[in-house]
This record gives sequence, structure tokens and C-alpha cells, in this order.
Amino acid sequence: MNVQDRRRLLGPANASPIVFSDVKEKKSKKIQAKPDDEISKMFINTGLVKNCDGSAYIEVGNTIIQVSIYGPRPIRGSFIDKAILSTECRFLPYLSQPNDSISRLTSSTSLITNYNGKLNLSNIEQKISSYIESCFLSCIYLENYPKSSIDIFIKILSVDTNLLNLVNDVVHCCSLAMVDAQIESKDLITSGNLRYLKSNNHIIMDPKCKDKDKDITNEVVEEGKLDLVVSFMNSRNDEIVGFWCEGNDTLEDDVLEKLIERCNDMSKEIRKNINFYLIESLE
Amino acid sequence: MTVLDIPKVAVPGQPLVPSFLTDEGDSISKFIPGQGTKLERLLVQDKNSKVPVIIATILGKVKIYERVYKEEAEAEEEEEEEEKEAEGKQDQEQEELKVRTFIISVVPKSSKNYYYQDSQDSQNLQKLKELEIDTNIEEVTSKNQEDVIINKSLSNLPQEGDIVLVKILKLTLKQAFVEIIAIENKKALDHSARTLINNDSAPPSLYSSIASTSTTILQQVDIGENFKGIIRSQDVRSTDRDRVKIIESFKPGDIVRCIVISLGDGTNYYLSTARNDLGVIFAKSHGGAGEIMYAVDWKTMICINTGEVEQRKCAKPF
Repeated sequence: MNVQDRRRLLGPANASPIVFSDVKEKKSKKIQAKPDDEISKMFINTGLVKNCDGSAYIEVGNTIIQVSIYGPRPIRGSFIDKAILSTECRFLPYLSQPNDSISRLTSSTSLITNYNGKLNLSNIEQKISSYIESCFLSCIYLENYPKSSIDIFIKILSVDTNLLNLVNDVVHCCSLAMVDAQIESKDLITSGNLRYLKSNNHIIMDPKCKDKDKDITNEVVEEGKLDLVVSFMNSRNDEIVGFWCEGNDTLEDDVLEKLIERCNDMSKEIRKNINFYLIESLE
Repeated sequence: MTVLDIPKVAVPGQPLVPSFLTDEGDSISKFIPGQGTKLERLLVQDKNSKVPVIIATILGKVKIYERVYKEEAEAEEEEEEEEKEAEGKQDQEQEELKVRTFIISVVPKSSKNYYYQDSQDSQNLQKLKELEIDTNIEEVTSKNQEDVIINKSLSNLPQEGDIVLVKILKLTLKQAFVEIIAIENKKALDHSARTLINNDSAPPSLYSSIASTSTTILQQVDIGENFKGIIRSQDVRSTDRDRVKIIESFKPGDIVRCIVISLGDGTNYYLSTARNDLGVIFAKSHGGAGEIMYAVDWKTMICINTGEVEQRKCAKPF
């Protein structure tokens, strides 16, 4: 048979198929369970993005967040004597977003579907955006920046934890970016995050998904389990600037007080670390 | 003899010093918030009431300057002379509380030179001494004074009274539209520097994207990163101001030194060149096609290569 198929590009006659060697699947390391009263380690860096006024990068476990801040920059339209703060949180498109299934249930009320006119944000993204925005509104000296806007862009590059734990890290990342942008603020916001198990009156600080293969999108709100994020201005007499609670149960006043106290402890601990990083970066 | 117990570096929110300190009853140190600091009322640990405390608002090194007023210094000298003449009687008044005023500020790492701009005080201000932290107040080491001038506010936004450098964008019969490039004695506006150096476009402001839905698409295209301004024809010069012709004062592309007279409306700052030291600094002939021109007098510029003469409202170069 000398007739070649002229309609196709043929490979060389002596070509042989590729054979892959046997690749053994690596056994995924079991993540060592963190003690319940310990805060997980984080890696922080600032000023990586050159194009913006301030940026920060944070890694906690497999959760990676990057925040860039643009501002103060001019606005269009009528005169305003204070800066406008706006926040946009986005997950990378292929990431599965935590608690997605829950938010889809609640979204039927559609109160937040078009939050602040920003389009194409998922419910989770909108919720995180509005939480960060309300925290930082009370923290920045907006009156120092007339006729301008300050924009916070949060990019979540990777996530392996539950929603409120993620929010906790996002708060810290935004605070660092705010410092890097040299925007005058009343304090540096840090926050604490914990899980309260009502059945045995147990508190887990900085709760992580211990099971690596657990689907974060389907974390069900169990009865008697409560997740809490509280954000503070710690050197300003521990003023609370943000409070977010997810759960399906009632809380007694004294328990709530205790939980906030524990969040404050955690927030102070993180504040110490961030302060150390910032002061080191000066020298 | 009080040792200043003030941190050398500060993070935002860190309390630096209460607004008043007493030194064993014979003098009071008063602290004024400078750049990068704010006066706030905070609860102090062992007290229940709120106390005025100066806090840092940015990350940076803490600097303290002593403010000495010219009038005060002279008055003190006179007082001393009088007191010498009339000794004895006024012994009690001599023990008046001495108030020393310090300006405390936080300077970010990136900045090197700061200039003190405080229009109210500039006349009275004789000198600002920089104090070394951890030294006794009594032993003030004064450094090179000219280096130790600080900025009143950190925010590098144009404020009323600031001298700015602008680029002329567009002329109409009544006014010139400009873009603010830099503010004198302040850090260059980041945005303008960015857009001048590399053309990386920043994501548009979320706010402007909302606002632009109500305006035309044309405006959306030229959403700039720079603050804009207007020089009205009556603000070009201080004499004969109703006969000013904008076209004989500026041309598009000129670099002009202006003073900010008002924050203006939402979009534009209002600027003025009605001073000898304000006006066109750099201009090219033939609408930018020619060579750089030099000022001959306050309303003419000449190109030394071609001899071309054009009309501008020039700034006095020296």
C-alpha cells in the first residue's frame, strides 16, 4: 500500500505512542488536627501589586487571599466632602464558594441580589463585601479625602475553609492593605472567629475544616452549632466594628458575652502578630 | 526633666502621647497632632473618663518638633527685662506655668523630605526643632532646620492654598480645563505618576461605574485617574481681569503652576494663576509641535531656535 492519505498530516513512519510510567497517587497527608484553642499560622506580605496604592497577600493553610486598594482617587458627579468607600470581593471563577448551598436557599428573599449596583457577584461575595465595607467605614477618616473614592478589591485565590473563617482572614488582609495604602485610619481592624458547640458547651477557636476532602460548599448548619466572627479596633478600647453570626440556635446573653470575649482574645493575639510584621517592615 | 516616653515607630491606632504632660508642676508640654496623627478621646486603663490622646493614623516613624513662636520669644525677652527692673514685687508671677508646644507626627518610610505648611502659623513660626525621642526635653538637639519641615496633612489630595502643577487639556472662551499632575512639597500623585510611566489601567472605581450609568458613554471612556481642575478667565491674572483671553494665556499641553482657590464642584478644583510666581512654566511652540519656549516677560514666550514668539501668562522663573 503506497497510497498515502493526502488529506491528513501524517506523523513520521517510525512514531510510537507515548507510554506513561505508573504514577502512584500520593497519599494525602493527614492534616494534623489543630488544638481547639490555637490560632492557625498565617503568612502575610504587603505591597506586592505595583499597580495599586496598597496591597496585601495572606495565606492561612490553603486559603489564599489578595487585596488591592485603589484610592483616594477622583470621582465623577456632584461634590462630596467625604470619601466613598466601596468593596468588591471576588472568588476566582473555578473555586467552589463556601456555604454556597445555604446562601442559595436564603437568596430567595433577594434582598441582597443587587447590592450596591454591583453586578455578577454571587451572594457569598456580596455578603463578604458588605461586611468588609461596614467594618472599614467606621475605621477610616473619610473626611480627610473629599471628592474621592477608596476602592477595595478582594481576590480569593484559594479557599479550604468555612465561610466565617474565610471572612476572618479577609478582614486581616484588608487591614494590611489599608496600612500599605497609607490611608489614614482610626485603628487597624483585626477579628476573631470561633465555633460554639452548644451540646457540650465547647468553643473551637479559629475552626478549620479538618477533613480535607469535605465539601465546603455543603457545610450544613447543624442544630446547636454556631459560627461567629467579631471584628475589633483593639487599640481603641476594643470597639466592635463588625459582627457576623451563622447558626440555627438561640444564644443566651452570658454565653454571647463569653464568646465575644474569646473572639477579642483571638483578635488581640492576631493584632500582636500584625503589629510585629508592620514594625519589622519599617526597619 | 521629663523623659519622653514615646514609641519610635507606630502602627495605625497606636496611642502616642496625651495632649498635655506636666513636668513636676513647673511646666506643661502641649502636644499638637501633625501629619499622620489625630487627636482622639480614649479610655485609659485606670480611669473611667475619656482622655484626649494623640494616636497614629498610619504606619511610620514618630517625629517630634518643638514649635517656638517669634512673638512669644520676643515677648519673653521683654518680660525678662521688665522683671529685672521691677524685681521683688512680681515674684509670684514669675512662676507662671511655662507651656511648651510640640508637634508630633508620623512619617511613612517612603518619604524623605517634608515641608511644614501651616498657613496660620507660618508668620509666627520662627523655628521647628526636631527632638530626638528618648532624650530629655530639656536637652533639645536642633538639627538642620530646613530639612525638618513637615507637612500638615498626609493625604496627597489637593487642598485650598496648595500650589499645584497642572497640564492644560482643553480651552474654552471662559475657562481652561486642566489635569492636576503634582502638588508642590507633597508626594507626587500616585495615579498620575502611574499613568504617565506605564499605561497599566487600574480597574475603574466602583462608584464611577454606577455614576456613569446616568451619564453618556462618551464620559465613561475618559474616566481618568487624575484630579481635574478649571482656571476661569477671571482667575488668570489679578489686573485687568475682565479683558483676559484664555487663548492668549494658555495652550493645550502647557505645564502651569497654579494655586488651589477652591475644592470646586464634584469634578473640578478651581485654580488660579493670579500671582507673579504662578503661570506657565513649560510650553512648546506651535501647540506642542515645536521646541521648548522660554519666558521673555510675563506675557510672552520665545523659542530660541526658531525665534517664534507666542503669548502666555508666564510664571516668574526666579
